[in-house]
Amino acid sequence: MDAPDSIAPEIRWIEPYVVGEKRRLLAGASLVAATNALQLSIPWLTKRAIDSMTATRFEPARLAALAVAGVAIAQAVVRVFSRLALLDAGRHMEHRIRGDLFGHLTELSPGFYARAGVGDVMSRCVNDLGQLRLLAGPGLLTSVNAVAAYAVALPAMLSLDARLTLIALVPYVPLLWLVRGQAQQIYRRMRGVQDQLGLLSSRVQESLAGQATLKAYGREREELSSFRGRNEAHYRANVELARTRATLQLLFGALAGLGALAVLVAGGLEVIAGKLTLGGYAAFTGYLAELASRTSMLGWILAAWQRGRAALARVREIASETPDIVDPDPRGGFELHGALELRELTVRAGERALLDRVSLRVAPGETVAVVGRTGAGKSTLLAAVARLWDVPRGQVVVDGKDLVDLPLRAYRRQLGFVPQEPYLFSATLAENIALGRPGAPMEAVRAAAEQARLTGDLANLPEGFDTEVGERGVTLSGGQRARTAVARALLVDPKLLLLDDPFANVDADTAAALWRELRGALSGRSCLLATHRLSVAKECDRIAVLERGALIEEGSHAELLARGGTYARLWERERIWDDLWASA
Amino acid sequence: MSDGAAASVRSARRPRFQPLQELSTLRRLWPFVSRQRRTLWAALCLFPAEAALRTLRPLLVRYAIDHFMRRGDARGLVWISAAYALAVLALLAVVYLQTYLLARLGARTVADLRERVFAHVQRLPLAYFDRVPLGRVFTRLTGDLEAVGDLFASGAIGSLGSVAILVFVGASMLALDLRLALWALALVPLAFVGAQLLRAGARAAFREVRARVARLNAYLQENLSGMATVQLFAREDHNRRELDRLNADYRDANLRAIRYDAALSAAVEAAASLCLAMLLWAAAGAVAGAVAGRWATLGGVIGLSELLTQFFGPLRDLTSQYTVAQQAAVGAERAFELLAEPEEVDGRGAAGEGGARPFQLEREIRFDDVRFQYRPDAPALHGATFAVARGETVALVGTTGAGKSTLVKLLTRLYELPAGGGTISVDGVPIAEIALAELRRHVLLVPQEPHLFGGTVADNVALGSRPSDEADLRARVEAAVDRLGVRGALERLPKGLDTPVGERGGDLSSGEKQLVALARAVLRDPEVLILDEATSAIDPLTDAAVQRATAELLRGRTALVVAHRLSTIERADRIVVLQHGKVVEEGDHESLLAKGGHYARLRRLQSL
Repeated sequence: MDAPDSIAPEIRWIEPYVVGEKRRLLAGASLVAATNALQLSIPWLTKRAIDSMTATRFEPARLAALAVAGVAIAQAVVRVFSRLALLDAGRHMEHRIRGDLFGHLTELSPGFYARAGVGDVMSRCVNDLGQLRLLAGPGLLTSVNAVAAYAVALPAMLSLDARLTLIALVPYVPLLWLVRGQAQQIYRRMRGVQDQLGLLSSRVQESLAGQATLKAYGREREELSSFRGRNEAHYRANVELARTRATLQLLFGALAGLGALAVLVAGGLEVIAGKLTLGGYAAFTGYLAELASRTSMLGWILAAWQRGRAALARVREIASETPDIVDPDPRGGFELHGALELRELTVRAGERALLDRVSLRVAPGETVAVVGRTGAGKSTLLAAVARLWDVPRGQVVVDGKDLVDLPLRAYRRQLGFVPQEPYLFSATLAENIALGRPGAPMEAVRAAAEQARLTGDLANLPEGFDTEVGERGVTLSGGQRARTAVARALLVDPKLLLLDDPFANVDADTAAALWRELRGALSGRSCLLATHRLSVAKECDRIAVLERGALIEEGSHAELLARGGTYARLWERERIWDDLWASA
Repeated sequence: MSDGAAASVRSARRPRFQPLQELSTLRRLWPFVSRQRRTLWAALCLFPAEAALRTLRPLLVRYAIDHFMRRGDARGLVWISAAYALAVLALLAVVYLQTYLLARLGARTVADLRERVFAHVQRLPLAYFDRVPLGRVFTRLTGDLEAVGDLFASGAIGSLGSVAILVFVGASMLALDLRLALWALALVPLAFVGAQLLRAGARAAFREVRARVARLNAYLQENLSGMATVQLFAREDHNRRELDRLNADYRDANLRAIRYDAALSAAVEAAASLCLAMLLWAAAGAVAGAVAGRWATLGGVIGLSELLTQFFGPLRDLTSQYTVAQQAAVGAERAFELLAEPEEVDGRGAAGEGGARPFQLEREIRFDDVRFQYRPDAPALHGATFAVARGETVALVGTTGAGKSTLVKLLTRLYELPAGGGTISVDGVPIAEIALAELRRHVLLVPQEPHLFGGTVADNVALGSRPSDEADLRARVEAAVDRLGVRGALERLPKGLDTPVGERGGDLSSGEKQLVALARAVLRDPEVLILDEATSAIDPLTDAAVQRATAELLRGRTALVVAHRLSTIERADRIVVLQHGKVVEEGDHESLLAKGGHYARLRRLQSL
């Protein structure tokens, strides 16, 4: 497959963003060309001035000097606008791409994030998008600048002295060839440094993760020496990179220096022979210096294009990821009553069945407990009902309709989901509770907190409901996080509550109290409650027992006890356990 | 997770830097830089050499014009061109060396600093890792330090050399032709002040850009991590709008920064050209006068115009270097913060009495009224008192959260017993007074979930070897595996003892991991063994091997076992029952069963 073919989808993807900035880009490119034309008229004016001086003609020399001043000011004005246009275009493109990308990311399922890794997605949104912006702004600016400089300077030099032009550019041929080799070398070296940094990083990561073991075995010294090996390898890769970089700089220096030398010898001889004026000599030197300085950006430009291309591919990859769970009607309405039916629901992760033909009914207003050992499929069951995990058509029926056909957002807006590990955002406690109802009145937030028994914790928080929580704020205990999540779920006044073991992180007393409160809040709502606390499950209308993804027992507490199966065994175990706690 | 992203997310939490603070942070890098004093001096000496060579070239051109071109002396021109060629070559050599030496200096400095930080991290108490997320420590050691390296590699240090160039070029211009040079440089102070003003604005604008990108990335990161929650509460549109706001804020800050950047760039270019115009204007008069025997020559004018180019070169790229320096300062500051974290205390109590005391166990290890809490609101131990006699195996039994694991962590001083938290002593010597390395050499903890490192099974077992006996390691590993009777179980792995484990390798079952950990412990052969028995289910075949290995490991050793298995408990010499951080029963299996208390009930729980 040809290289142009393989990047075609990327080009198609980015095209609208480029076209959107068409006006700024075109204007910017023209202005850059104008800046160069102005800038490069200065050596020509210098020639006029010096030639006039040679001829001891005072007035034209002063006029040329004035013209240089005029050009300087005009050039400054044009330059400001050329940079504004091109660099702004890059920023506007970056802004639009980021906005669209985030919109797209909100449509991808948790399955995607588990597969791709949040870190990798984040890196593409930040680092790769940054590379792309660097290409679209400064990269484009520098590229256009280099092309324009050659386009203006070469004809001027040729018209001034074609022979001298050729002689001055002779060193460019072998040197640029060498530059090409070194540029390739530098990519390899950069890769080498990155690879070594990667190895060093995993060494660090592993050492940090195994701290307890390393301490127990008193391996600090060995650990340090193993780290030192990686650290030194990384250092050596860096030194190699430095050497290549210095070589590249040497080549560009040689380009400028040898060109100037050629002009000094050949140009000087022509001056002596009377074929070139002193002013012409000075102008030539000026043009050549400009060309050399633009050419030395070549390495940077090549790198920017190459990195930009790689970044483009990586950004497009997530931008064109097809959502596996699609909301059939994002703006649609739907009124949930809370009748839920699972018909032989089967959920697979690869070969393994996480749920195996589970059939279960929840009538509106009914509370059904789902119990079973860790890994039995309780969480998967709840995730499937919330359609965080996609379900096959016809296996989950809500209010008589296939879940797959329901307007997903409208459906979720009426769900109250409490996950096992609640996620708190960096915002105030009140804002975290009001997640599903932004701008909810404070009374509603307080009422929900009250129902979730969170109000008792407020006294311990520095600013009550206004306390910052999450990454940047106060760390809440497991129980407090669970209660916040319950409050959050209750605030949306859900018709169907999905509680994924909200009592996992709270002690028995709090669990009992929380459950008592919740019971009141459950009236008029359907509820699926996954829990390992059977004292809570016991009070539910029905109990479903899962084992290795399959539903093995179902019925009321009394029925299941009478049956003497798995549930009865689990119940006995919990009873003794509580007994032990009570006697302590 | 990407370092860059993590770093920028984190910077949101940091107070802003002031230039002076940055300078003082960078000054703290000096001890690391000064280790390579010779490289540093060599690089520094090259600065004036570079400046002199850069100045020399226009001077040669001037001489060539005035003395050879204008007088038609071709031979002279060739000679002076040869000198010019030498100057070019010398400059190339100087610049090459300088770039290389500075970059190497930077890489070395960062490598040394990184080693220092890593070594320090190795000595941090385990409690530190409970408090600070691993990801943050990780970023400190990787991405943040890379930023320090950029300081040297990008030439920010090299821009110090620009000062030398400015001085040399300016001085030789003045020496070449005082009056013309004064004309040519007349605008420079003005340009300098103007650039300074713009630069101050640009600095503020870039600071705003950084603050906003940190906010934007923090928001992005949080939303990606909590996307399931965002979707469950149908917040997609709301959060999209919030991101759009942050995104637009960031873009606008950038657009402002671009204005300063464009103005600065245009101003420097305009100043350079205006200076040239001034030079030509003055020269027109002066050269006309020179014909009548006055002071300027044509060569002088051309030489000055070339020097002018050299003069403005270094002025161009100072702004971007400032950004690099600032990021380096942030990276260094974080490294120094980490270095300031207190290390594990070694032989604390004995420090004033002439050093730590040796580990000597003749009689017993005693826990006396031990109290401990991980967090103020969650006490784990409420005054536990009991003893383990030399050669005795004691089983610690109790429900989850009774404090068993905490007790054993305290004995190995993975956590430090706070003042007033009772004492743990070995033959009457508080463990706080025993040198840490000494204590851990004699007391080994085998944790519930053993940690395996990247490498092979054999490598992981070899971790137990004492650093002194590296010879015949493989034979020792095999002997340990044999002694424990787990050779058969480990040979069943795809490549036997050479099966890769850890991040890169295949997964071992939790039972197999335990076998590796037990073999590791046998190789270490500690005087006191602490075993936190696993609770997780193990397949029956491996389970039998684990039980046999455990029994073998415990035989004839002083041992404290956090026991979950009946077989282990029954085989123990004594059983200590822990409940809510206190010892509630003590005795052997039969007597405790007969007593019908906690132990008896726990037993029933386990049989279910």
